[in-house]
Amino acid sequence: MVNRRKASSTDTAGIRLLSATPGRERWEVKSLRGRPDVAQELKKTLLQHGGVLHVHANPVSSRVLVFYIPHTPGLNIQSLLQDFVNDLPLWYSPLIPAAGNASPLSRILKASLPERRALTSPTLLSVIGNIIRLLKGVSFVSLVNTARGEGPPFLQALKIGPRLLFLSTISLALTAADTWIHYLRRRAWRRLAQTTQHTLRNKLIERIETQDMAFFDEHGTGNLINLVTRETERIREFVERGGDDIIEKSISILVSGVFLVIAAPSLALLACIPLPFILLSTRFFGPRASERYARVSETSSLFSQILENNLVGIADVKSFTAEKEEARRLSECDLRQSEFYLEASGMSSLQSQFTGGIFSTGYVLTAAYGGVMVAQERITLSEYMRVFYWFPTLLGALTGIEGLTRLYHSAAQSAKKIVEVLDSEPKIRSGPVRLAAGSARGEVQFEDVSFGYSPDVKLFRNISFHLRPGETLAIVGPTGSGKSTLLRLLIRFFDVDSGRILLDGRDVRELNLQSLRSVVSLVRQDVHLFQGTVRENVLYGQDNVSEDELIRAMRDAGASDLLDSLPGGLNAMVGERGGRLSGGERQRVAIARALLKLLRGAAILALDEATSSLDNETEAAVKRSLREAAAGKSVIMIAHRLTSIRHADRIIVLEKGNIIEDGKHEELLARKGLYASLWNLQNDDPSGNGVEIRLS
Amino acid sequence: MKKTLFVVGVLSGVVLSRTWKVLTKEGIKVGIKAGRKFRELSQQAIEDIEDIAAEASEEVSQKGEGARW
Repeated sequence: MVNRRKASSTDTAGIRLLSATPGRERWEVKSLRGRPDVAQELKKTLLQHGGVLHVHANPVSSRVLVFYIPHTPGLNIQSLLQDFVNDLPLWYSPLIPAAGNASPLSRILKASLPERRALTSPTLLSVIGNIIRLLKGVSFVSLVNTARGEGPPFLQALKIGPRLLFLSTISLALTAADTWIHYLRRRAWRRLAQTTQHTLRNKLIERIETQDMAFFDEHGTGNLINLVTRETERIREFVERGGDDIIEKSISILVSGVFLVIAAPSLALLACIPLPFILLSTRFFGPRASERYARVSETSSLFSQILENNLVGIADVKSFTAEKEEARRLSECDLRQSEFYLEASGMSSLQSQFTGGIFSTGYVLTAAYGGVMVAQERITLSEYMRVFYWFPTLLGALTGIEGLTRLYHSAAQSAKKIVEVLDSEPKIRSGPVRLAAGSARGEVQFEDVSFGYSPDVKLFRNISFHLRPGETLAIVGPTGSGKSTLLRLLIRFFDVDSGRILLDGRDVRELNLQSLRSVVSLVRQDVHLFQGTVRENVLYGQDNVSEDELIRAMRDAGASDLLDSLPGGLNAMVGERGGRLSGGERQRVAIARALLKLLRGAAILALDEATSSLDNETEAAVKRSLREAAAGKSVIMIAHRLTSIRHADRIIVLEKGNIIEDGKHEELLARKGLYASLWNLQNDDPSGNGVEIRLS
Repeated sequence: MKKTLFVVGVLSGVVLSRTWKVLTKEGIKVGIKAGRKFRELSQQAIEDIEDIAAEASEEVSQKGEGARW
């Protein structure tokens, strides 16, 4: 059935159906506009689905035409488009306009300033405020001239008293209006600046959150915190004060310049003499000040990084009694930052003083020449007075440009750093294929996988293994052999250099990142708990969980006793990074979180030294529960305690980037290789029949 | 008056000599944007006509089937 008019009313998250006939639909997808890469990706994504015959995605018209086999079961073009649009932030989309010739600051402002309408009010208030301020000046000069018996011709009919009263009233009214408008315009600019900073921070956070792990290794947490807090603050300052200042200075220069020319053209010309020197000084001092502000910015990031490292590792700082050393490092860095700041502001002050000196010279010259002109009766005393009112106004505006340039340079340096992050594309991009919830079987295959954290040093060379659905695979090996890295590769924290990893027969790079990561329930060795309650930590990343499911997950993780021992039970606060809990308690909360994910449909349980902080008895109990909870699921276990993995369906032994042994526990013991010697070492029994912890 | 005009003339010359490049660039930018908008609108118009034709064709074939019945 043709469904044009009805369809066009549907508009969700930037998609809209324009035309539909059986087997043919045309949709408007706003995210396509001007983005050929997105169009290409959309085409690829849609064609992955059975029943879709042909796709034409047009980035110029931002529309997509889809031909499909009508009545294909499960095929819903709208939901496919919706999913694609929702996933866009996961695989990168530019958050600021393309570079071109624009400076980083102008790109950031274009992307973060609110729409033009929001700019109207502060701009208008600034213009009105400055006009009122200048009118106040005019009325003041008129008042003085009137007192001397001259003054505006239209008041000549009045006597001196009423004339002065009239002009005083006007001056007072203008002063009141100036004060009120000044308050309003400051408030308007502040609001605009806050909105800009908020938008910019959101964009930065969005970009940072979607980056891959390599990005965080490269940039450092302290640096990123500094970027989101302090650097955006400088942009806010520039918008708040810069916008208003630009208008104020422009109007002051223009109006006082015009008044000067009207009052005495030759004096105005004389006043222009310092201008070339001002321009030259800006050229000379500008880049130097900018360079110094860049250093301030760099040391500020470094300071944040050191401070963050210090506070995160405060326990180690204390245990190694390195408090004084850390305080010294921080103090040195802070001192360096202060020195750079003093240098930078010194350069700005020098420019300011230099500019002021030039203008003072110009002022003296103009005053002297003006005096001569009055003496020769080439200008009147009133004109001379007007020049002397307007010349300092012009001077003030021109010297004030220095403050503006300082703001600009500081903001420009921050913008450069912000743009670097906003422009950085994650190397790990989400694939087009989404897995239906609960549909994954949990089959994992590594095929000739090679990988290294740096291109020169390979951690793995052509590693291959196969985990069938429902099997338990254990990975053992010496420290640094890359056991945890295998899990990181599976969930695409990093991508393989060569070879491929398959999940249920599909390359993980083809899979949607959220889908892929929802299939794997991971418990890491270095457990991270978020500031909040035990409940919030167990429920992390899961919606609509019943109380029964929550309690069951806690019980299976051996964490039931926490409910009684912690004051407040599930609602007990865990502290920053779970600091109020013991290592074992943190690990059990993390296991409960993973079990909940498993209960909600994850197909693979990945345990990376997940029970290392538990005592033998608790570990045995938890292992037993895990086996029950993970029945029918695939399990990947990494463990140093070999007793905890001996029941695995398969054990692979890693050494120097290769799988050197592969088989069941008994087979590996019989082989008398690395596994057997590790087993003997741990169980203190050369026969290989050492004491073991029985799990069941 | 003549002096003032001369000063204004010289200043205008200085300002224009410094800004002609910016002004020309802005003009070209406006042109590019107008061209893009035209391209977008024309493609949308073509696609609208394609849609209308596809819908009309579908309606005709539906009616045709009805007549045969």
